[in-house]
Amino acid sequence: MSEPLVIVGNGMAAARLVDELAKSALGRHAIAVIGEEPRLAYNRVLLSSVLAGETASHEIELKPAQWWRDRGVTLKYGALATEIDVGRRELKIEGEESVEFSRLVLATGSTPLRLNVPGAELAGVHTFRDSRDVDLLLTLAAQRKRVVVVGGGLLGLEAAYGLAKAGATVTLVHLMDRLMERQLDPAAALLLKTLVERKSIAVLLNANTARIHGTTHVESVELADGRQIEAEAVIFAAGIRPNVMLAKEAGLSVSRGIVVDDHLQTSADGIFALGECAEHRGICYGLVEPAYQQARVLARHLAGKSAAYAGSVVATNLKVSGVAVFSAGDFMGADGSESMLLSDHRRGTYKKLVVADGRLTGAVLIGDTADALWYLELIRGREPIARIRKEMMFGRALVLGARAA
Amino acid sequence: MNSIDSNLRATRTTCPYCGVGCGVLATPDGRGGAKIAGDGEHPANFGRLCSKGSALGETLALESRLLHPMIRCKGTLERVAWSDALDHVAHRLQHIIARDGPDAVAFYLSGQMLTEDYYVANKLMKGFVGSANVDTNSRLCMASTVAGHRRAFGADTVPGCYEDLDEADLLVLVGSNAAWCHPVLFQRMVANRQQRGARMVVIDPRRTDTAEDAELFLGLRPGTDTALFSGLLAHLADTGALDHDYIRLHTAGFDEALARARQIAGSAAATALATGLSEADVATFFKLFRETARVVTLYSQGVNQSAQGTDKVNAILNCHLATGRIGKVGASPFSLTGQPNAMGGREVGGLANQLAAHMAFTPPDIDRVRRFWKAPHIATHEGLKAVQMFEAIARGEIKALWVIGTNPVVSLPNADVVREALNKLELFVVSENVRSNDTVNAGVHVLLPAQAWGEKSGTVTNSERRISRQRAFLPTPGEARPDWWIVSEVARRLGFGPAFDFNSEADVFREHAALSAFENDGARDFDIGGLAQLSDDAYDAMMPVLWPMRADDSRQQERFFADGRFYGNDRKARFIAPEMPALRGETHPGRPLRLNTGRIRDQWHTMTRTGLSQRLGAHLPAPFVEIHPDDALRHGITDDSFARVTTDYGQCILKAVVSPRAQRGTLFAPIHWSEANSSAARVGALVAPFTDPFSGQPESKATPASIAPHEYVFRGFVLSRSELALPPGLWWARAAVAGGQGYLFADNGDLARWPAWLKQIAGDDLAEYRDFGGGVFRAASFAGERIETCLFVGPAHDGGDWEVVKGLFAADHLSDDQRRLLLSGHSVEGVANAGPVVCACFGVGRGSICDAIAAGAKTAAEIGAKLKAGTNCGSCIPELKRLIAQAPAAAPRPAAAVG
Repeated sequence: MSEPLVIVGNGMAAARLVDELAKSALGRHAIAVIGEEPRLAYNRVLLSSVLAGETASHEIELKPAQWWRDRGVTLKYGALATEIDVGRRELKIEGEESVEFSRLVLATGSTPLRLNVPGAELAGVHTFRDSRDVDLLLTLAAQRKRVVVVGGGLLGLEAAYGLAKAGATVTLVHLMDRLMERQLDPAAALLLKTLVERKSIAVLLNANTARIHGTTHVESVELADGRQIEAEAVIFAAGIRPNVMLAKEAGLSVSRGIVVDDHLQTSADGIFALGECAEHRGICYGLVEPAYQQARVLARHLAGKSAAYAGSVVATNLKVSGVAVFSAGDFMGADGSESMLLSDHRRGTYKKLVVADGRLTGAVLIGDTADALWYLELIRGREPIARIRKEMMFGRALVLGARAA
Repeated sequence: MNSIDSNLRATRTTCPYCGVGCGVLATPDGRGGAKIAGDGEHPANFGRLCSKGSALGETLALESRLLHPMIRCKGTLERVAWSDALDHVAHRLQHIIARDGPDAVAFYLSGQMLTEDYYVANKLMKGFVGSANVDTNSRLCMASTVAGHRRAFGADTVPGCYEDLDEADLLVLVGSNAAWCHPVLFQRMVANRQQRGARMVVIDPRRTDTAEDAELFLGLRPGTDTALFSGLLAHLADTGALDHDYIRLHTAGFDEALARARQIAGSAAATALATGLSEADVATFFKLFRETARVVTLYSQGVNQSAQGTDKVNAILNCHLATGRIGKVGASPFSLTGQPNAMGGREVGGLANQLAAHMAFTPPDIDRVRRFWKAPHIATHEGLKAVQMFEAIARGEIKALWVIGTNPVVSLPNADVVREALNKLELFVVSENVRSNDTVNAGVHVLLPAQAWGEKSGTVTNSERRISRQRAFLPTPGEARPDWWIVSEVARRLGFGPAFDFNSEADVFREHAALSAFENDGARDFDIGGLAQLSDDAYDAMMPVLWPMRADDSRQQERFFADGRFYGNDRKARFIAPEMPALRGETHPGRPLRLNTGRIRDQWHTMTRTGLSQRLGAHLPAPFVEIHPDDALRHGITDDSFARVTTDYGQCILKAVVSPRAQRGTLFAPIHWSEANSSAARVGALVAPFTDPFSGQPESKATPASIAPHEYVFRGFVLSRSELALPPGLWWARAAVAGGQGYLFADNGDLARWPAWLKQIAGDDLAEYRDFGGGVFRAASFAGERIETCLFVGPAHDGGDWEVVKGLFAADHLSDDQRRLLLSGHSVEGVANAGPVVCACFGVGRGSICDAIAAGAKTAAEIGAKLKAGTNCGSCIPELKRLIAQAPAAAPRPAAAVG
């Protein structure tokens, strides 16, 4: 008899976990996935592409329904889990019967933050998180609305790009002095700003949103320095908060996220968490790749194999506003490191490699990310790079060519 | 004064470089340039051209040209009208002559001047100013041959002609890298070897490309040529190989000469000891020479540029006279002249120890020329030869100097002292093509713009006594004028108008021809009286002609002296007993080596013309010093590092080339670089001013020297569309590259200065690669999709390879992929890097050649069939063969290394 394994959440982490489980321990578990969103798991990263009209909504589905069926997964979507009864090993679901579990995996993801400023409750204030948001934003864009996107991180840039591409007039306001400050060094951020501005997006830095004006509906945004931006809509994309409520109410240990150990297990036996809702060694990852790594470790662990998660070297490897952006490791260059730079602003490319102790420890790439994965491999592998240092900036093909010589 | 064919038809002219005197067909393109081809009908080259000649079309741009007269006013040169410039020169000359006498003025002329220009300058100075202080850069070139000819033959006569190179069975090259310096003639010799089986002996302290295929290479010790030919003379006497009848009937001084030869080297063993050669090699040479009646001994600067150059020439002539092998088909001594019109200069008498038209400072000659010129104040004694002339300037005895068409601050020995001496002049006039060179920049007072090749019109004489028309095919730019006109205008202003009333170069030529025949009647070798009556049209149409060209048709001849008629008073030839061979200047522990100087294949003199060609700049772009591996080890020099070469006269910093082709104990450095194109490679500054007692020619090939490593932290290069001022304190050398200028540099400054410097040159919009931790900075600026400026700096062991970058710099459009990889210095995958250019004629790189070899090409001909390399001038064929020999069996070519 298979053990009942229940996964809460049907995002990218959940889908990957099922995939990994199917590979490593098919049939061992009877898997049920309880998802709040009313559709099959999809690639959230591509939402901005959908918004930009570059990808059709149905094309971003991770796996077809048949795939789930073939793996014997019970899918419940549009279903909100409301309570974990740790003692009885039951999960309560709104408007449905509870499900029993032997093991439970929380993959509840995160929620966009709404700034606590006056006017944040007005009509026309939105977030950008799921495919329902995309539909709404497409409507705005189709009406050629003026939109202020708050937040110059990954999410904000994607929203701004999608909106602009779809026809909206977009102003991006960002609190910090550069875009994507958690992933990019100042030079890379400056280039990205130039490239984003080339796509007709106005970018305001050091822009602290003070209030949103309007009687019932958004009319303008006021910044702390007094600047006013007229707008019919505001999109908050200024950060996310892990969805921890379910865990917290069940008495699991929660800090910023749901605290897990190296087996991705929470403070309760047999209850696990992964993805954006989890906090491992004090870090909540907001990216898909750590979630995938966690899924792999967790699947092995659930299959009874030895596996441990030691944390991820965070890498961003995406198209941001149509611009390829990669960032990994110590991209700022800590004391004692050296930086190598290759930039060609006219060509729209910037590459920075950070080297410490003869090893690659960080990288930022804008515009040309062809070798991103190779750099990531080097960073993670901690291979000495002295022999390839001269050519490594120009790509793996060149290094291999030079070595073959 | 120029009639330019408006239909842009090909004009027959001659090459402005070496003394081979190749015919050139120049077809103007109507945009200031011209298509260049060899003249198939010219008997010097029958259509062939060397790499330098082939690239003439790349040297016609006007950017560096001097286009109007200038006078120094309060320290700076300012443009003036011709009349003002000429008035000024004449007025100052007049003043100085009146105050200090005619010997206070001097002319320093050039083997690149046309005969007509030469004639007028010589006539003004010797005939009318009344001083023989007229000398020429030919003093550095073949003055020892002139002196040797005159001692032996009683006249400066080249006995043979080029046909002898086709007809000889043995070709002996002494001190001549003909493969590089006279490539077209060398190819004639190679053809003779291939078709007739002629053998070749090369005698040279350096194993040059000329020696590559020779039957015998004799790498003798510097300065021991006289010992070798003394040993040969003794051997010929001892083995019954003398032509006793010829010696008895037509010569004098044989017994003394033979006795001296025996003293110097009486046997093969003694010769071997004296020269450092093996006895077997010496014996092989002696036997070859003895047994081969048709032998031509060709010699060049290795013989001439010596403090015993005249004796070396005579030691060679002795062997030919003693065997009667002179002036016969395929048998003669043969001097290869280095300049396009050294011979023409000799014919007009443009050297300080000649008067005019092969006449000397003897009372009858002086009287004859005085009457012909109607020149009552004619000079009556020899003037100062080049080195002594500049010493007299340094002592303040010569107060006015007029330099025409040469760059003595680069080319003279002890060149730093020469430059300083120029500061003492009260009047320093330079007639030039270029606005700037080291001589112009040495404080010139008056700068006069002369016509350049392609604009000027007149005649030149090549090494075989062949007079050819050099014709104009381009309009004269700006206010440039012919040299004969400039000198005549000054002469008129000095009050000598009637004697300088020339209306054309043809006028000048007719007078020159008439003087050669004046009261000659066979007494003088140089007689072109048959050309004295040429009409202007006939002069314009004149075909290449060998002299003599006497008015009396019945006495024409192609060769001299087979009949035993010489030009001394007794009509006999003279054997000369040479001095014991010895180099001037001792080596000692502080100066343990000897510095040899010379030319490279693709450059000419001080590069003011060849330096404009990117094809020619590609072969050897940086000034270097060649050193034997043993010496390199001893002095801590490694290949491709930098070395400081020091003599008692100066210092240079050069790239080190460690090569077994150099002889132990010697260094070799090329003469071409100057301060116009390098920071520290003006090799003339190193050369000792020791001169030959007869010819006055300096010993340019044996200055005692020391060498030491000179370290640089960084190396790199800059490619730019125009000339740049590099940061101070660098070592640098500039070469023309396709589309602009290339600078190679080495630096001990802070790497951080380069970004700042480049921004100031190229602006902020740069593509950059920085690895300061690895010592690397590279950057490029663009105009559209074309590179505007490109800089590579790196650690000394890895300054970056400019070959790929040069290729991209030459392109009008870079693909995105090319731009992406530009700063890597590597080519885009799949696009082969051609490597450094080996064949300059067709721009074929080493990489392409190695690829062809790897793909199975086994001979130079096969490479030629595939890539065309080596099929034009052929001067890269030795290098092709070397690459074939070095190629690892069937191993693929390594991708271009960064370092």
